[in-house]
Amino acid sequence: MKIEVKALSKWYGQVIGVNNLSFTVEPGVTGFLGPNGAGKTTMLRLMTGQMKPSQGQVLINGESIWNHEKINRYLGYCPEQDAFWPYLTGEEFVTDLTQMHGFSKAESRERALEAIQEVGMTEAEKKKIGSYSKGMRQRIKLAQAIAHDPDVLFLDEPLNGMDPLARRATVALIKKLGVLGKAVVVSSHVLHEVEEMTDKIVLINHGRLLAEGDIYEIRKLIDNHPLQVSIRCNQVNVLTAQLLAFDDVQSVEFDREKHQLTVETRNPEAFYQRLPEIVLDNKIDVYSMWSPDENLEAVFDYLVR
Amino acid sequence: MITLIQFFARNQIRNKRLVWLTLLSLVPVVCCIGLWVLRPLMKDPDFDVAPLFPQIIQSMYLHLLLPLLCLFVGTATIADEVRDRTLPYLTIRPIPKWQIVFSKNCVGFVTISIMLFLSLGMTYSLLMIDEGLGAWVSHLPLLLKNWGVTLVGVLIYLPIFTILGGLFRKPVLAGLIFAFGWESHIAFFPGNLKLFTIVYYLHRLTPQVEKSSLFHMNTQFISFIMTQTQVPLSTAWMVLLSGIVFFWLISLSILYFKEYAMTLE
Repeated sequence: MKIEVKALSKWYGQVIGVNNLSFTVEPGVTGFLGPNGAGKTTMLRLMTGQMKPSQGQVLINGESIWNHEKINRYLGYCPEQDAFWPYLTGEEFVTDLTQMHGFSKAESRERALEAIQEVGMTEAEKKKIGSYSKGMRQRIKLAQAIAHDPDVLFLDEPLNGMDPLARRATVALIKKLGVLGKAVVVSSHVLHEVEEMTDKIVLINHGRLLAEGDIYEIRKLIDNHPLQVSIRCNQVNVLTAQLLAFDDVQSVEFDREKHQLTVETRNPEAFYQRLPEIVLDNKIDVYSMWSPDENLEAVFDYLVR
Repeated sequence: MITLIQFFARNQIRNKRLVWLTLLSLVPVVCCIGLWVLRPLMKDPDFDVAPLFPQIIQSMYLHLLLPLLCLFVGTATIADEVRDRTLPYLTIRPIPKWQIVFSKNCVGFVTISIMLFLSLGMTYSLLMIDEGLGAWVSHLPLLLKNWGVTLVGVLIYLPIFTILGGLFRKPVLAGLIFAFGWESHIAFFPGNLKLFTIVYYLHRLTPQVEKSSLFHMNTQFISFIMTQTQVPLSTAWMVLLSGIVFFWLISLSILYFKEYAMTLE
């Protein structure tokens, strides 16, 4: 199945959600990448017919998706919002929604159990969704999206809140669906997440298309942009001195009172390889480490420039 | 469609709202019990409570319970799915959008009908205790006719409140203004303004009590609405049926023209 997005725009009063986007999605996995607020969710909601475009159209196999329920037979959608009927069990949730595709109760249940197994939720299928952890809720949402074996799948931030094991299994499942010839659209604001699943990406920011195509080409551009890493530890001075000795480290800002430093590096891969050794050799206690989310925003700003 | 009805019926049964709606439906019953308890304190030792039944139907059911139950069930039809952000799970299925609203309202209609029937039955039985089993059985058609009138009320109020629930951000407030601002007060205004209320036509459908009847009372404090301008019964039926068709059509089409932003980035 082929999805064509033609000159698509969506605005809410004065606010532009999506601005004149045009691209095509073919079978396989396509990553929708953009920082928070880029317009990814709006885009997916337009592509699934949840919203009416202000201008342009979304065509699935040549037919407009808006108010065309029959096309929904071929679509699966895993929304970003953590929303459920909390009194349903995981099995009921997936079975009931699958049954709405016209399957009999028995077949819906069979398909639901298969999908639940695919996402690794068999053990918790009889429990109420209200008692699930965030990661489990993400997986049961994914199960309802795949249970009816759709040709086109829209997954909005599907890895949010998952633990590393579930994350790896979900990435493998998404890749498998792509290999099986499904058109899978995955949105994310985390570059490496998308990178694990596909090399086809659509980059959007502020509702506009920044780039579309091979991730490696885009990666090259991104690699030239310095990455920020913040670290909280007990020996800020020692770690700062050690890190400044390397050429790829552009700058280090530190705050002794907060026991925190922020490094800007041009070679994140080398930086992450080197860091454990420095920490062990100098007996530094690292309390936490993170790459500020705004960094992706900075990457996009960099691409816009 | 049956799948959807089953789905919403199961959700309705498990929803906590059902408990307090049931409690709400028992308010007239509690009032009747109160009447029984307080009866010995009244000046007239022969005070008979049976004639109060038509008055209770009009004041407690048509003016209070019917709009309130429809308000809470009707506004929730779309607003609950929007508030809980579960609407996308339904609208992404290959089912016409009108069926989502229709199925949910069918479940709502059955729920309210059962509540009203039980509540009316209990109220009727409490008021008829003194009259004996024979009178209870012989006047049963009055109970059923009044229940029928409330069902017509449910059929027209439910889609109205569904529309309010689909269009307004605070649908309960909008519904309260409609139910107790417009419906309850306009009916008491002089002139023909009351012709624009639904409750006026529902009053017209309520069974008329003859002077010789067990249920006749001189103090028909709400019935004066009817004595001002009497439309023919056929007109009342026509207005109500047209209203039912009109408001159901509007409520079933809401999801086609109104879009809901569950989350805006």
